[in-house]
Amino acid sequence: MTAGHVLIIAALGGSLASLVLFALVARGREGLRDHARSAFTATSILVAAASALLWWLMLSDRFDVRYVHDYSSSAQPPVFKISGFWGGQEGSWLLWLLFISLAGLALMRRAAHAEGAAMAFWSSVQAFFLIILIQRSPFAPTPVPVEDGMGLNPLLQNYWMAIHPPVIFLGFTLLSVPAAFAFAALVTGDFSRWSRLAHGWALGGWTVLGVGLLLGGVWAYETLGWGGWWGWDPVENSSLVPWLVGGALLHGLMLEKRRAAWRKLNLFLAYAAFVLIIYATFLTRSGVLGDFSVHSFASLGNHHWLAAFLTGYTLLGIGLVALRTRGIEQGEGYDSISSKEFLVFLGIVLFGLAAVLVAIGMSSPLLSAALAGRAGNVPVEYYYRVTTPVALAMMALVGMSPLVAWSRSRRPSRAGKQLLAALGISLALGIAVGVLFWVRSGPEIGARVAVGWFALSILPPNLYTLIDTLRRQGPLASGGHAAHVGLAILFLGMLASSHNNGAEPDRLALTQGKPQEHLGMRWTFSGVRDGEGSSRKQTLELRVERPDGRVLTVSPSLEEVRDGSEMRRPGIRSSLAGDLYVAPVELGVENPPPHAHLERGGKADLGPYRVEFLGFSGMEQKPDGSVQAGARLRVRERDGTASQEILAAIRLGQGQPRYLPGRIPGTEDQIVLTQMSVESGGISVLLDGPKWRENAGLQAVLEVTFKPLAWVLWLGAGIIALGGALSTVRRVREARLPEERGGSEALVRQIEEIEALTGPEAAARMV
Amino acid sequence: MKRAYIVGGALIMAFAALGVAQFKSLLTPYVGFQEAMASSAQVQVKGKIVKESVRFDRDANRLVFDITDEQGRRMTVEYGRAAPGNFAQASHVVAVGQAKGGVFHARDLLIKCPSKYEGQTYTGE
Repeated sequence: MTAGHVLIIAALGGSLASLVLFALVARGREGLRDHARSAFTATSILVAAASALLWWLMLSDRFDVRYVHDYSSSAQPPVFKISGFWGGQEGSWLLWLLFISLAGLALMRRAAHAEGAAMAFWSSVQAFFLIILIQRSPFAPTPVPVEDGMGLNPLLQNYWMAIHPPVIFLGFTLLSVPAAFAFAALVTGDFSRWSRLAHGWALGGWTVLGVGLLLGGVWAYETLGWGGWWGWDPVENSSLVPWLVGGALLHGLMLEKRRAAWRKLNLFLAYAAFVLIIYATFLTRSGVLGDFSVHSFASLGNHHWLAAFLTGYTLLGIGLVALRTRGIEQGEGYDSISSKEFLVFLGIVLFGLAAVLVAIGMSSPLLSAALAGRAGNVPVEYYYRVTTPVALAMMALVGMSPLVAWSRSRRPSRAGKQLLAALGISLALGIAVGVLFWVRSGPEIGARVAVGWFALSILPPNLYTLIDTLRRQGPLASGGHAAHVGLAILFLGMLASSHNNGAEPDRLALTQGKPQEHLGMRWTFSGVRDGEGSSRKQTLELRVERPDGRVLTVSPSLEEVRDGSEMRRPGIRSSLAGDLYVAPVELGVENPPPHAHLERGGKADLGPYRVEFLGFSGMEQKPDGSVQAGARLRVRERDGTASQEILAAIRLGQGQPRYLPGRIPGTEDQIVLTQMSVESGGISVLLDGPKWRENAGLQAVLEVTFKPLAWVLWLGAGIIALGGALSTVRRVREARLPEERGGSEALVRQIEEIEALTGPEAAARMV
Repeated sequence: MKRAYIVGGALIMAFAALGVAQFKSLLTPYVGFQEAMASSAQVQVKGKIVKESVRFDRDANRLVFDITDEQGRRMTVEYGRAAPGNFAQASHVVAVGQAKGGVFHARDLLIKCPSKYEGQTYTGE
């Protein structure tokens, strides 16, 4: 039993104690509140101590701890020893738990009347994570003594990858908090303030999770060389679904705060976001999708616990709804269907639809196994086809949003109505033109035209409203408008940068020192730079001359990594016009040296020689565990008669094979045994020598794409994130407002009514 | 309130119908070798890579290799691109595509590396 185990087990005890104590507080035992808080604080300190311990073990190279051995090595730079903390499953559970504990400390102080029930819920989540960590401990010892660690996967030794998982886990944590408030509201039957308390958390979680998705996209684009920023992989989708539900929730909470409407819907969405986060974790970590994802999901044998957790919380939610839903009072959602309230409601429906459609695709292996009796999967096209109509409808709503008034505000002006009509005509035209292109050039082009048209149509009214709100009410009130502007820009960037995604990328084979024209540029492969030290990284140096005479250097790289797999990192040159994206395919030779495959007793010509494979020379086990095997060859010059017998061998062990070529006497040439199969009795040989090497010609095979205006995509995403952050700050402040001002709901309502007026007014002034 | 349910419900029905239709038409089932060879539909198969059979035809830009299933049946797979990053070390592969003329034409190869959580990544897209 190590210190780490002790900390985790003690923390489990603490969290169970705080669960019970907070539950009693919720039932009216006010006197226990301080004890409950102490128990939760103590648990969180234990979790923090366990995290600090793991970091310390990583930094001090304690390879006797299995997790450190698996995800660190003595040569690893300190920054990646720190990020190696979440390089594997066990550590990332611990990191997530750390966030849950820290968020719990903040929640405890902010939960007001809901503290007892909300914190009991939160403690139960904490306890579950601790159970998982007892199942699979990051503190388990290495079974056999080892000298050094295996090192963090090089794909993860990257700036983006170091920050991407913590951001995702922080987003998951924050986006789970509204569920705690929903739980508390359902348990206590007090729904009056839950939306105000939850709104800031929902916005914060949605924003942070969105940034996490964005960082994952940047990582895929820059490091993995996926060529795109979104691959609809289950790992990505499983974070996208809770994010979409979060988007529905934060709009719903806005409506609920205005007129106490859609309360049941919001309680459902808040709880669903949480359950979906667990479901996502279940899908990606239990190993059930192992055959369907490009990520590999090794099961750690904890999927029973995950499934139990998922089922438990789902049943808890259903039970609460069954017991409480009749007692929930809620106001009318809207007065007329031409009001903004109705528009926002439709937006919530679309967010929910997008979430359901993506979730269906992501769960297709499970669904088809359950429904059709055998597992299947949907290709990427599924996601494009089902999400494009949703995206179009959503953009239409975003376009109308600044032109439609809240129902209790002033009547919309005539100019506002005219603008709305103009937008309607533009969107209808967009559909018509899209259909035209669909018929002429196929569905994909049609969809692209319509999406682009919509994005351009909705940008001006939203941009105007954003600037107007910024000027009149300052940045904090502008978050929502900013996010809408960002959405339009994001769609434009997506369209532009992916305009040639459908086609096979152009392939370019460049021989060292022989320039070629490609995409209107002159490409020269100047050489290969080898990585320093033990690194097997090979950086290809490319010189690209543009028509205007400017010269770019692009340096994609190939790297053979620990387990022998190859990492191909693209070279990207960004400019205002777009990204030149160069993905390396392979590094080879233009004129391979003479080579042949030989069966036992077979003969083949190898350059100027005739080679006969006489037989294997027997296998030999070396002290280091490798196996050496040789082949006896008879060689003569094709136009000569004198033949000689030589031996070529290969040594196979851990890592790369070692070649022991046989020199042909009297020449500079040698024969290399490159492959052998004892089963089939065949070998592969090639001829090596100065003459063949000179003539070989190093050749780089590349895939080259140009992604126009790639920066627009990142700009749009950045603006959405900024908008989310601004709204978060505003709603977090607002959550404190009622208490400080003696619960003046009316004041908050009044402030919002005034803000609501600026929409149509702004529209009126545009004319 | 009623109208909200009607409009919302209609939206949901329309999109759900679209989703189900697309789901049905695009779902590629996991099948055995015999079934994959017998049909021309998009399917996915999983098999062990026969190392000796792997060859890359650079002129045609095509990767060709054989896979075997648990019963030892053998099938040739053709992939119209360079081998994915960790193909050389992979033991098993999932191929998504369709059979044509006795050869399985893969449009995607998913590499199985049982070692790690989130990391070994490759996509044909």
